Amino acid sequence: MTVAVTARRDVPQAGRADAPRGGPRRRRRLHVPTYVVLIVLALFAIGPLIAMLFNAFKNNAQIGADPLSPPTSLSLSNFTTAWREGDFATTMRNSVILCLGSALGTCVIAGLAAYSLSHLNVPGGNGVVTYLFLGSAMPVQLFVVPLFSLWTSLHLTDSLFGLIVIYWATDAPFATLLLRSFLMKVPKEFVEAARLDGASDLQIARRVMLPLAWPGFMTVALIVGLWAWNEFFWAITFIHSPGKRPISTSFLAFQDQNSTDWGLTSAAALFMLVPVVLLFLSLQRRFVAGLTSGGLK
Amino acid sequence: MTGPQLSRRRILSGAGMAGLGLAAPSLLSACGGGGSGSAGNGTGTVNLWIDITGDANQKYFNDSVVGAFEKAYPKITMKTTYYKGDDLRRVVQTALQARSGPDIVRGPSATQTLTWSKAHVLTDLTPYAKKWGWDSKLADWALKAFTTNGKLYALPMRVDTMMLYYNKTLFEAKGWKQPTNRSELEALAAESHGQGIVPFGSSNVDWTAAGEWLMTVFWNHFSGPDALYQALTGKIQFTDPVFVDAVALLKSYFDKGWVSGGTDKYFSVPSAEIGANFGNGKVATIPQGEWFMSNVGQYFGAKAKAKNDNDWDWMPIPALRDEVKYPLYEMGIGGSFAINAAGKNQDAAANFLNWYYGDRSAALQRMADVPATYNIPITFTDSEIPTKTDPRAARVLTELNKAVSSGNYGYVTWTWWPPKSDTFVYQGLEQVLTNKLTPAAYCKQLADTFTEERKQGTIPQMMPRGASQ
Amino acid sequence: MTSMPAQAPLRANPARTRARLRRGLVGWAFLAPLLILNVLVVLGPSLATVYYSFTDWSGIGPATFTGFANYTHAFTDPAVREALLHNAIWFVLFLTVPMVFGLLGAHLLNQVRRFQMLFRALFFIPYITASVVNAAVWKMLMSPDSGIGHLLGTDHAWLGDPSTSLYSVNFVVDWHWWGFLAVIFFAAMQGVDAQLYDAAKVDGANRWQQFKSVTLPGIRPTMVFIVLMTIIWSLKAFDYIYIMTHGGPAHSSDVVSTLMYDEAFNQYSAGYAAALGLSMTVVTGVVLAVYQYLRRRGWEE
Repeated sequence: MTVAVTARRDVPQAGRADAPRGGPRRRRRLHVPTYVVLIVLALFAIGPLIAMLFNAFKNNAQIGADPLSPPTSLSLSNFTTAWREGDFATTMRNSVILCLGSALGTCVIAGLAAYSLSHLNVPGGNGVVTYLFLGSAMPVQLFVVPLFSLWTSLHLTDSLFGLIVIYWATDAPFATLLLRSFLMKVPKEFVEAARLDGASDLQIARRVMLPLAWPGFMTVALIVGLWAWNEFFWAITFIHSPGKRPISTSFLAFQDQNSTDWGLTSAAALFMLVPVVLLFLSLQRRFVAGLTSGGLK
Repeated sequence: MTGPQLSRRRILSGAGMAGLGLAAPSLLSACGGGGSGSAGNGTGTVNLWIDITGDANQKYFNDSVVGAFEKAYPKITMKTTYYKGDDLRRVVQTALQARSGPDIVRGPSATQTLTWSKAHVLTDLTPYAKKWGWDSKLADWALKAFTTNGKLYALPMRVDTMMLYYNKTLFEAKGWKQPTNRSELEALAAESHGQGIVPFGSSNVDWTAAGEWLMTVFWNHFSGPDALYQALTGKIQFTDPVFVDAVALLKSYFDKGWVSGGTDKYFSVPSAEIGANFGNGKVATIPQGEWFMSNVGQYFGAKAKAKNDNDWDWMPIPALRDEVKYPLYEMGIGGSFAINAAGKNQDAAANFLNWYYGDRSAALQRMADVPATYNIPITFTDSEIPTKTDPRAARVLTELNKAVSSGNYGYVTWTWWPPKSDTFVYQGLEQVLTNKLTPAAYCKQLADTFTEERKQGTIPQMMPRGASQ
Repeated sequence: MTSMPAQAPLRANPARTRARLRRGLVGWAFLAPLLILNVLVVLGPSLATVYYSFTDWSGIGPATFTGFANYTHAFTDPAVREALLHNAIWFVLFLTVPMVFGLLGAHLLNQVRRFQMLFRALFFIPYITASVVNAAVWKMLMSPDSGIGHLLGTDHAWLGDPSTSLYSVNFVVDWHWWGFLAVIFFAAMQGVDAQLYDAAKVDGANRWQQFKSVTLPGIRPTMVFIVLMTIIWSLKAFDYIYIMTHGGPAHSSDVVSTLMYDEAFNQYSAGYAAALGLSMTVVTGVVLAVYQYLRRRGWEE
């Protein structure tokens, strides 16, 4: 450990293992073309969404005349109309419930499972891991009808909770795999030390694992929340009352009715997009850290 | 506007009744015509899932259908859920299979509802029909289409036919006349195509089954209803050249770029965009069903979003072969209402259906208020059509009346073709249009599927040929 | 391995054995919520479809046992063959195109000092945008009458032409995905020991050689995981195709999952659809096994 830290100190502008950087002179030389390519890539990524942002401020005639240019005035009428007609107040509330419910539950379920798979030497644990991989390869359209029958008999259709349980089940395998590799990095000595102090497994999970793996849980919560926000297939099938519909189905229905009115559709799309973008921008550093230091590295 | 002879006729009901030699209103009808609540015995909440889109249309349904019913039956509360068409079908089927779902089942089309009936998920409506005398209120041919083995399993939701909508302002400006036969139609198409105006607008983006609307037009107006009747009753095969040539003719229209500007656009331009172009004169005509009437208005006029000074009208589809009569209207049923066998509130659901189909004046008022959407096959005379009805919508009613009485009617695919054959009609057409199947191979596959299904008996009772007296 | 001899005497200790047993039980108890949910929602209903896959079930009503008829039909069905081909095309494109863009973006990000966060955020946004929104935007941009093509002077209907429909949808999926990979790869690249680059430079390696011999091996575990998930996701590809083309026109953008959906809900062949879905799961399992086998055989070395 000490060796590594000292070695890093020798690298200019250290801190994190921050990059394969050449000397300052070389960097200056590469500067411009690199940035040009980066800007082109960035425009490619968000250009289409910028066009949508522009269209949200335009009426149909303006869009028809020039679909990609910036708006000439900042008219908010599309937003107010779309908000009202799409009933976004209701659907957004429902989606927030779905996101929180599925994120919290998945963290608990996947957290327990990941702790077990990483620190408890469960007999047959490897088989479970393989099963989780294979299970996530199942096409979901395959079991919608039997699941619907089951949910009907359990009175879980047309219920946000019923939908959340489905999200728990479908998202937990991925979350478990991610958290497992995260928790594997927690040194066994920590766990052993806590155990010698007489802590139970549940206490270890809560007091040792949770604080150490906090970024991993954050990442899982964000991803699962994002999936719940964007999901539409299960939602359309299992939620029927208009008052319980989530935002994705609201957007789809809205788009269907206003398919020629790109201004309105764009405004509605922004209602879906802006909350997640804001959330991810504010948490992106931690999110990415969690994703990479956890499962993907 | 019509002679006494015509005005006496019962719209949409004559042919079936006379053709099958059934007596018209019997004793039963006397006790059925009562007002609200007379036979009401259901209470509680009735769930209904339906595919009405658009705020205005939903509001009308809430106020003038559901609201009016709840007023007449205060003990019953309706709970309506709106879906878009594709979703509705999948969700209803999934729910029915799970023995749950809405109390009133809005089925997609006659033949597909038949599949549900065979799966025993729909309640037998025959007792209700007897109790309230539905056979005297609804057109016999439409009820027959929903009867298997003597059991009535659904009620017809809307009378369907195909027509040719046209931009009236454009036609007047260009001096175009309404074509009545193939050569006039093709001359018009060539001329408008030459001027950069799309002759026929059509799209299957929003409704994948839209292809069957076109096949319905070409088989009825080229092959003719007599040939179709023979094919559907198994006397001739769909491999007959008269059907193959109809497919080839449609394909040739696509190849000339006459339909939506090309096959690729038919597959990718949303129907609303085609509608907008229809309104501003870039599309000359749209071959569509009468249901399009409730939408077409939004593309025309200064006050609508459309912002143009144009107007629309419709004409009968021209005869595409000399042997076929003109005007000719293909007939069928768009959608159905049935009662879920797993529903807990079947009597109340039946009360709704009885009110919906039984209250003639309310039904006629709905037909007047909203063009086409509420055209249920009930019996009424021309003079009963409310005067404030849009004349274009009223003309559909009187023209269909005339068609039925003179025998000039044909058959739409989504009512008279069995379910798998019906699906093949539009899915296979995509393959024809993309050159994966020849018209002959397409008809061969259709004939095979049809023969198989006919053997299994998944075929509705046909509306017979011949004029009524 | 080295600790084995030290542990061996402890095994005899009965208290220790009991503790291990107890921990195994606790371990399964901790797995229980996950497994119970999985059985309830995924495995149980899937087993029901295993039964249906041996029947002529229409999707509603009773089902008749037909043995392996659905599976033998699947082998000869030209629509299945076409859909499998599309899955393969999809797999190759989805694996390579976002990977190339992602590596390029990550590598360039790794070269610069300013605006890293900003670029990272911009690359990332399409990934967090809902598929329904992305599909709507691109449908507008690909529209022959009002999209980008219209501005560029072509009225090609990208989604309506059978020869371009599959590639057009795949393009949209690649577009929303590559930025995510760029961000992941970028973070992984930051973890590569800077001294390795210095050593490579001393050896006279040029920038491409540095990338090949230092960067790529340095992020290999990340790449391995991404490839694994890509395999699973390409064989499951559904949502964008379903939203944008429904697999059409004329099956030209159908993959097995959309074909399965069509069979189940439009063609009244739910039994056949179940057989297709299960076969696809088996195919995925085999592909995953082959991948793992190759990896263990030293592909990774």
